[in-house]
Amino acid sequence: MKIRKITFAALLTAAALGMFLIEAQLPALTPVPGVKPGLSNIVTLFCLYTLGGRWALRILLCRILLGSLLTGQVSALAYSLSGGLAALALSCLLRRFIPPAQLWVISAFSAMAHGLGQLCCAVLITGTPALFAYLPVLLLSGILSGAFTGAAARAVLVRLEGRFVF
Amino acid sequence: MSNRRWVLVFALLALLCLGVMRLQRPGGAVGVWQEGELICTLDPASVREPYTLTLSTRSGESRIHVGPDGVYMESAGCRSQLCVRHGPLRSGGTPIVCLPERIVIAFTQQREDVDAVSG
Ligand SMILES: [Zn+2]
Repeated sequence: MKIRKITFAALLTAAALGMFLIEAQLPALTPVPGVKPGLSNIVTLFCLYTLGGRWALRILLCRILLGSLLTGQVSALAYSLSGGLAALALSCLLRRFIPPAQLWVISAFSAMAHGLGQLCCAVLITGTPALFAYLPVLLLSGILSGAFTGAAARAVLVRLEGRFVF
Repeated sequence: MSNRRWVLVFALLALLCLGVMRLQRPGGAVGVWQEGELICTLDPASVREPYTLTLSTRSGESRIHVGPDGVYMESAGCRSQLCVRHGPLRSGGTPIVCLPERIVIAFTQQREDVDAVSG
């Protein structure tokens, strides 16, 4: 059972990494820079509901480390970590109060936490509190992208219901 | 809470964000911060001839393009080049941030002329 779980986790890490790398190419294409769909969050949510919080954290850390190595953006590590960890922490908390059928709600909140985490990180590193003026933009994009990725993760979970029980 | 209520909650939150964004919409002034210090304020709309602002940074220099076509990071000494790939600064978009070089390019909140605010 342990081996099955590890193999499954490795598969999910690869999927998250793939989405992360696709997304890393996106900023040049989107009309609103910095507003990314947060595709790899679909995998994080999927992990949370199939394998639990601990594995979701492990997979998230692996994805962030491998992602920053592969894209050569090691400096973006602090960014990714602060956003990813804030989002996962809030998802774990909200999961206790909001039913899985409303995953889009959890996801929208956690996407906002993601933006806030990254913003705090940027303010701390650059020492520029003026950046907080961008909070509304990040919250707004968090609501939209979070609701979308949450709905996507829910659709996958419903489709694979009961197939990944460890 | 039902889905309908949550939609209402997020819609209200989104409206609030849009409202704040509208209130803070500056008169087009762009600030450049380095190491947390506001080093200059630019008005791209009044620039006729584009020019380049060169800053010496932690790992070389960062060149900022300033012109009627906008403000963007032309080149930078950082390895990630995220700031360069960000493209021009747009209202309603995100600021240009270069974490390794501690540079921020963003709209400033001070309004230059209050009379020019349109409803
Ligand atoms: Zn940079």
